[in-house]
Amino acid sequence: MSILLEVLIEFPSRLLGLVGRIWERSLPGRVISLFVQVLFCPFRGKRATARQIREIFFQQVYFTAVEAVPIVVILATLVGGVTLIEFATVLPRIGNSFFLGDVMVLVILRELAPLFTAFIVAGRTGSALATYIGNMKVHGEIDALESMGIDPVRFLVLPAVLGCTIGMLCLSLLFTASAVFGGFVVAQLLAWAFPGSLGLDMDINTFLSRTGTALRMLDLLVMGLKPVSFGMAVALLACLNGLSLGISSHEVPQGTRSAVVHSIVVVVLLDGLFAAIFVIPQLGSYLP
Amino acid sequence: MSEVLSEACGLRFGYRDDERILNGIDFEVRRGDVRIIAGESGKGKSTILRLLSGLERPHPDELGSVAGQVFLFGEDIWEIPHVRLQDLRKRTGYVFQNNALISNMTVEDNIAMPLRYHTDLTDEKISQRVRRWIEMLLLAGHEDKRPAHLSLGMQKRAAVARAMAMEPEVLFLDEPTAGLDAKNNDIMLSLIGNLRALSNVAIVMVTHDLGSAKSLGGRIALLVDGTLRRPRSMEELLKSSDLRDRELVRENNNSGSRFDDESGFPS
Repeated sequence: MSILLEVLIEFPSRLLGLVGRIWERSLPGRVISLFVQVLFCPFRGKRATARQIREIFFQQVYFTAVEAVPIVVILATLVGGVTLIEFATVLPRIGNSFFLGDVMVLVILRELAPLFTAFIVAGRTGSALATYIGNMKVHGEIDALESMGIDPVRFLVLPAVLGCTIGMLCLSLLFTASAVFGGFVVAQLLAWAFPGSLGLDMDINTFLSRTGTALRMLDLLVMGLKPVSFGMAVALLACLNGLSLGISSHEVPQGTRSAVVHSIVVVVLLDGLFAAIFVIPQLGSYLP
Repeated sequence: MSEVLSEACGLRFGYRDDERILNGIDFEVRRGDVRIIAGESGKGKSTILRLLSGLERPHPDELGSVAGQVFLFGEDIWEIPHVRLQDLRKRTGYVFQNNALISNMTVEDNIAMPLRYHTDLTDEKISQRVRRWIEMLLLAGHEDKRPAHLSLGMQKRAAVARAMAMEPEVLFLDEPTAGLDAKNNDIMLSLIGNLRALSNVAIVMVTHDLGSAKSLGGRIALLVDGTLRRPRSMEELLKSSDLRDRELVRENNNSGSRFDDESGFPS
């Protein structure tokens, strides 16, 4: 009887311990733990390190944003053009092509720009970061930092996360601008090819004003929040996958692959979360 | 008696899914000591160093009475917060078997790294200190090179310079002469001897080469069946009544013949 009582008394704490251990080892648990470490680590270390960390941060911004400019501009211009073509052919059928501005804002600014940019950043920066940190891990360089009392999170992860987040935000804005520009160019081409039939005969000012009219404060907020959270998620997952490796070189490509796959899945999940927070509550206002 | 800097009490350890490799290690290092750990390959010599410096931890289920205790400067490193352990590590140096220099940094930046991280020294002061270590470790002219462009001997000396940059009280050396030719082996041992004479740093060295023990004047603890034998001098080991001790000494005494005097430096 007393043993049964003891088991019953211990059950909640054992269950909590088990849940805690599962949480600690799970991907969300490890990402959140790393995120908390990143939040608190800036308050440690000395002035001279700040300079070293700043250098890594600027390198990360350069690699994430500046070096990706050509691919983002080309991709965004094409995506903007294709999106406009699709809607320019559909909208007249369902009523009025005057909604083209709304479509560009909704589809490109709020959805395609952050998502496409996040996929590019996950493929370029996420994979490179996971490989870089993974190689450091398997070659004992992370242990070397630890042995010197240098916090790898502050020294490597913090500048990588900051750099990747800022870089992602800049790229997303560039993607938006390029996509809108691409849309305008395609609109001009279509207007030239089919004069008057698609309602696309407009100058750049009209095109921008239609797009601008459709833009609301909420869209601007989402345009800022999405790239920031996506960039942070990609960098954290890349660093986590790199730091989680063991001591064998063959683990590096596995870590890189996991970083990219996790990033894409998490970015799409976060996108769904944004939709749930910012779009679903407004559905009522769109209903007749 | 001088202060105990690093200590292990009843240390037991096994990597996950492997059998236990350390079965109750008792070990202490005092200020100025030289302790050499020798034994067969793959039996846990490097693991002892990693445990002593907190780079390795027993499984959480074994922490407490099962795994024993490790103290660094009197503090139980498995009990203190990680931030405190990082603070304590400022007072230790560690040279890894594979050197583990940061590959995308120059030799100079590698050596300056702990100084930049832990001190408020000006760039000029840091540069002066780094310069001193570069000259002492015979790396002048190579300070702007990356590790991949250095010979193994230079990489090892750069790793020692980085470990000594913060002027530590304990220096953990994991096979500092492994893979070196005879000349570089002698240079390395001579430099370690100089560092010790200069800074009175306590040295814990894992090595195959027991000749180095004689060179550094240290006492040797043999790792046998997961336990460390009492630290003894080379002469005591050679006269040991235990056949296993004598065999291990003979197997690991690769360069003993090159040390022909008691000065502590290669002839």
